[in-house]
Amino acid sequence: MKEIIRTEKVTKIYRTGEIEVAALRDVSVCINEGEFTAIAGPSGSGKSTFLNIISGLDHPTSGDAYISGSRINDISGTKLSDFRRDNIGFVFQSFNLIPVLSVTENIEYVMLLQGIPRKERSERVAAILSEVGLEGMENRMPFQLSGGQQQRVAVARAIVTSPGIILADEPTANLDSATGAALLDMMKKLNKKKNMTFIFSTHDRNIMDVSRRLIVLKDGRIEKDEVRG
Amino acid sequence: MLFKLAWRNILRNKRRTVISSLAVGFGLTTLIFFEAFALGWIVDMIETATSTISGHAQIHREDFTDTYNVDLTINNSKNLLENLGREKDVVNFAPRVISLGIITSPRDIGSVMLFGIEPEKEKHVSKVEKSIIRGAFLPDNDNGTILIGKKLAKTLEAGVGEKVVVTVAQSKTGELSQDMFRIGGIFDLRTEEMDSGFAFINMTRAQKMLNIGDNIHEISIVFDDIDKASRPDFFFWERYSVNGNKAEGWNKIFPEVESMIKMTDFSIYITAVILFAIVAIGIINTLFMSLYERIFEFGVLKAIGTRSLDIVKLVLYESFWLSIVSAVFGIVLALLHHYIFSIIGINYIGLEFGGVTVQNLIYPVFKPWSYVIFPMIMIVFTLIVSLYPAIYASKLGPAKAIRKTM
Ligand SMILES: Nc1ncnc2c1ncn2[C@@H]1O[C@H](COP(=O)(O)OP(=O)(O)O)[C@@H](O)[C@H]1O
Ligand SMILES: [Mg+2]
Repeated sequence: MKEIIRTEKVTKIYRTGEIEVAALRDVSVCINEGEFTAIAGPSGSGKSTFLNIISGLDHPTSGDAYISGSRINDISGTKLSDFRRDNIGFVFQSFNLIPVLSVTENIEYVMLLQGIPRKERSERVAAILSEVGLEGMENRMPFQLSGGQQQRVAVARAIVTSPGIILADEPTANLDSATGAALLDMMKKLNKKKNMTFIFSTHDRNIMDVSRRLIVLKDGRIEKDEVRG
Repeated sequence: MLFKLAWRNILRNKRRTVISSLAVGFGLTTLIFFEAFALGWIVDMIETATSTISGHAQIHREDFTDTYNVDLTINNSKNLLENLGREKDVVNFAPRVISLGIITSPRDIGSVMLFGIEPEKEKHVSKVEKSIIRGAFLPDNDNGTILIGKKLAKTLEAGVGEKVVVTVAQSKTGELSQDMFRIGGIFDLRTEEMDSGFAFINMTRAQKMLNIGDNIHEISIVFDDIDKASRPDFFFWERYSVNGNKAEGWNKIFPEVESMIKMTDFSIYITAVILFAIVAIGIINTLFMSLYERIFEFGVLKAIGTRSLDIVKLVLYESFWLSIVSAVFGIVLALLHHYIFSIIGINYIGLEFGGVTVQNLIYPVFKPWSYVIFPMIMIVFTLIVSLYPAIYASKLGPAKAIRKTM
């Protein structure tokens, strides 16, 4: 199996005035293509920091992070923006969607940045909406959707450009457990079907059991890293 | 797409957009209307100044207006008057004899600027005839009457029909020459200086008193278009500034009016600077307000691959839309103001400024170019000041931005 993400002794220290907080300490992990990985741990354990560093949204204080073999620290500015645009899909906890854009427009956004022609865009939007189970919602505005539906649109936006990696930072935190489980289930199916690498964080025990690989963080350190049958 | 996104973002908080664009638009209206009003005032001032006595242009012997020396008569005046009659740009003209003098009534004494005029011609270049409030204008054939202003009449305590004596110094010799007149009419030219110090008699009588033969001191001229009179390259000046004579437009005759026009230009400029500064602060404030509310959203946009430059563009587009909306408000409001005040006029009648008293309602002057240039300056200016919030937004670290609301 090909490796897609690797961190080597990544440490992230936040300084606010006199106080230093180590959000990550010597975190070394390797994630392979096509894996479905959960980053678990209580609030404040460093999950978001980890996801931000492996996506280039933030830089480690020390250590290195690699995506598909390239060291993220070496990419910057416009190249980094374009790299994220083409290689990483994001799903955040909430407020993922641009409120003034319709479902279709939100999903189209990254494709527009990529300069994909109109016809292909609309074909892909139609296909993806049926995959996430939102047919007929093309022209809805985000505020007209339930929380679960909004997260599905966010997933659709993340995967529509077929990036290698989907990062989801507590995507279910604002959903009730049934809706959250359904969203995870959908993500898992997409992972199988498209062989995209999914990494999501959660602090919910029920949700983390869905994944095959589970990395548990505590106080910025890896407490457990297991692959289950 | 960013353009569309920007427009929708502007519509997002409609109240804020409307309030800030009304404020900006109002500033624009003020500027456009202030200029239109100032131009209206100037037009009125020029109209008043030229139509009262002076005419659009005048011809004198050089130096005459500095000294009022009666020896300085116009050279070759006969020819000159004939030529003027053939100029197609000249609609009316009137010759005048001018002298300083003393006027005496049985009760008091005053100094006057004595004008000898040809009544028939004078009617068409000045307001003297129309401004007669008691008695009558001078008849074409001299009957020994004089016209004086209402303030002078008060000083002299003399009314229509009463006798006055005018004393002048004759040409060359400087010998005093006196003549007796009956007050034929009293005028109100609504200008202090004229009403208290001008007097009009028939030209032939004045020429006799001064002993200047058929010479004259001044020709007052009205063109078919007043704008010609302030054009430095108008052929007229060169053609008639010969033989020691000098032809000048109203802007040279009333340098104070001309400097007032310059001052008005300057105050429009100052008003513009102040208004644009206010506009700038307003726009920056509005943009930052909406930016702070959307920090998370900008974080998402950046996370999913929007380049920094596109973020700058997005904010600039938003400010562009905001200024377009403002410009529309401003233009509509300005047109509305213009429409209303060009019907009712603005009443500053009686206010004296720069030596000219406002005598009519002031009507704003419609200058279409102002409706283009001011909004355009405002839009460009807004875009420039918006660079600050735009660059600020583009520099927000996505990780931080995303964390802010969590
Ligand atoms: N920008 C920051 N400035 C200071 N401290 C931060 C910042 N971001 C995160 N932290 C701290 O780093 C630690 C890890 O945070 P985070 O990665 O958000 O944890 P999690 O996502 O697991 O809740 C926390 O103690 C948090 O307070
Ligand atoms: Mg977190």
